[in-house]
Amino acid sequence: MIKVTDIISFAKHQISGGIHPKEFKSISNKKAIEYLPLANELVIPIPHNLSENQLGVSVGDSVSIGEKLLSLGSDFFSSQIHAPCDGNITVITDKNIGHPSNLPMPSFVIKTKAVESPEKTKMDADASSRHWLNIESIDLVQKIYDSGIVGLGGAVFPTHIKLNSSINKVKTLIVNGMECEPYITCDDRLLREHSAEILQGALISAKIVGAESILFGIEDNKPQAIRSLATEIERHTNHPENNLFLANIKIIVAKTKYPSGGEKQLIQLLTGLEVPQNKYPVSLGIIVQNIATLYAINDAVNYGNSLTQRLVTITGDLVEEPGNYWVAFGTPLSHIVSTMKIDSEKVSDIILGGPLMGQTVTDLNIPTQKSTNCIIFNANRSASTSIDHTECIRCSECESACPVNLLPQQLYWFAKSEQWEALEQQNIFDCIECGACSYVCPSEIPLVNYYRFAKSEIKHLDSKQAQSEIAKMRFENREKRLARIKAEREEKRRKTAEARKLAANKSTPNEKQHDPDGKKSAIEAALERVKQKKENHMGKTSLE
Amino acid sequence: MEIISATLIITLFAAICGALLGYASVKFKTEGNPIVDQINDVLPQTQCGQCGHPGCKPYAEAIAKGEAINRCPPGGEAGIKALAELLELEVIELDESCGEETRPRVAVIREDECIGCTKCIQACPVDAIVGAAKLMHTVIESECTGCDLCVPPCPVDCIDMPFVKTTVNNWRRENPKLKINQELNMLQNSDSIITIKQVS
Repeated sequence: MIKVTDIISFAKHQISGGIHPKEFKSISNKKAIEYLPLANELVIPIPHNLSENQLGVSVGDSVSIGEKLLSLGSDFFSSQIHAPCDGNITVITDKNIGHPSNLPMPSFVIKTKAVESPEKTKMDADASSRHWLNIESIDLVQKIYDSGIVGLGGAVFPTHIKLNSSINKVKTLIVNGMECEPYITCDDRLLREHSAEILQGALISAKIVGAESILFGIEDNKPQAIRSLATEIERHTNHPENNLFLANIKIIVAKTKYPSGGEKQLIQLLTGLEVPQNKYPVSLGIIVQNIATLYAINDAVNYGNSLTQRLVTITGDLVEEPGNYWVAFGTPLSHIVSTMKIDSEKVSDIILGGPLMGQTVTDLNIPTQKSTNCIIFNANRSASTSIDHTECIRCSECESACPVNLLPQQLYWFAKSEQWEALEQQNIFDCIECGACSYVCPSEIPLVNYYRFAKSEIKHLDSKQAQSEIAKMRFENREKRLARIKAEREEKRRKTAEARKLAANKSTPNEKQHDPDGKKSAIEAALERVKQKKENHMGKTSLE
Repeated sequence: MEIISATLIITLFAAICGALLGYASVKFKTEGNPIVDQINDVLPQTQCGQCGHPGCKPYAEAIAKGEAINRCPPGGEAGIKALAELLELEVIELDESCGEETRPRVAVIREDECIGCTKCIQACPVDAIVGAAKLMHTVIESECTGCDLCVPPCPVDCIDMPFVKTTVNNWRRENPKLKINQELNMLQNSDSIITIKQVS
């Protein structure tokens, strides 16, 4: 018999840097999960890398919940999107979907059909008859692909690609339940109320990739979640029926510190291993999955549900009933504002995601997406969005806060003076944009904004360079082709001249002695040709 | 005796070195002018001819011979800076007689008006226009450098040169330095100048 105490242990390793911001988690983690009523209209953005013929539905079509909106064919590199509700596609148009550029993106607009309660639509889906243990890994990956599951921790990387590239290459599945950013509590609540489903999802993932052990990493500020999960693991391991597929399952509790939930940071905390530069965790035999992603995997494999909604923390000092809600994808913020009775006049900033890594938006028409794990409605502007800052005083607080051991101060100076090569040498692309440096900066410099700007400029210059390489190649190929054509023409002319000369020499061999240059014969030949031409011409005119 | 052996050794040594050098100069012969190639790599490869040369490579050759580095409008300020750094010259302003630095453009053929004369195809320095005689032509946008050279030969003026549209793929983040200045200006123009002073 395994006891709860055997399951839980404390993290032996540490990450460098990190900060301890005020948590604000108690605002939203007390209330049980509820469903947000469906909005009248949902906006589903179409991924920008798709072409028009990859759309699976057109304007006027009626769709039912879970229906695929794209026909991707064999394109395994994109991920599926589904109708989040029953309704009609009213229009496909450009909408502001909250991309940091504020550029509108083509989106499906779905007019929803009224439903009595959103729970029903989710739970009625048919359960698969075959147990997942008897299904091949590759078929499970296909099922996950068909369900449109992406990494719900925030990066939204397609889960089917991650799993597929890790099959038989990893030994450890690490489950990310750190949730280190302030305000966000959706993973905490999901663990408290649905630990059985999450464990199932973890077991399915472990089965797919052939992992031998599962490590749950959770911060020590979520004791209820840890207890709930530990009880579930104990029940699972001590149940004789479950010995068919058994992985070594452990919970590792880490001290609360931001950003321990970063993928590479989490691996370092739990195993002491550092993921090498420009490599993925799979190179260490590790795959990391988020709590919410595992819940979605269980939902897809055991219940056949596509990913059409997610748990979103709706919090902030303007929200009357802050908590965690199941929100259908594409729900506009304005709908949340009206149903949650938020005084929209008092809102100065809406933050999608957490206060450190999230994005501040002002447009209430922006819809929620697969990456939206938290929405904060606050009356006061947060420090990270202040527009003015004083100069850097070289205190190097940022350097000790950086979890990836970069030199944020150097990066700032180089970014400000636009020295791109120096920035690359300082490994700016290793920056995970966690915002710890900006948080500790006494001058309130929005450091991460400078790094994002620098990264974007470097990428732009790289693509420009690649473009000019192509143009150079095409220009040179064209020059070569033109030169070749010219040479060929020259060659042809030379050959015909030679042939003519030869013919002229042959016809008058006796005159050769008197005409060593062939000049005379050439003149004669020309005269002959003119004569012939004249005759021909005359013949023609006479014919006419 | 010593003198003879020393002379012999030195002579032999010199002969070996000479042979090695001779071999190296044949084996590792650099084709073309490496400085021209380096300059050419910095130039934007628009092949527009605004500098007065028929393409970027000829201009690179001219620069190697001592022509001014400020005659490339598509390269702009950044291009002049890069050239100055490479050749250890002073940064100078763009020669405005060659043209102005503009946002990138792309050629677009108004296809119903095209008569299929192939003149633009012949003018395009990077073979970015496809079509055949008396058939409609079209521009391969991804390959177009926006050089403008196809516009003058068109007998029916059916080629437009719009700016390249900003999309999610080629979008660039704003410089926070400029953003701060902008927002401060905006605030200063309104009545809230006092709050800024309090903040700073």
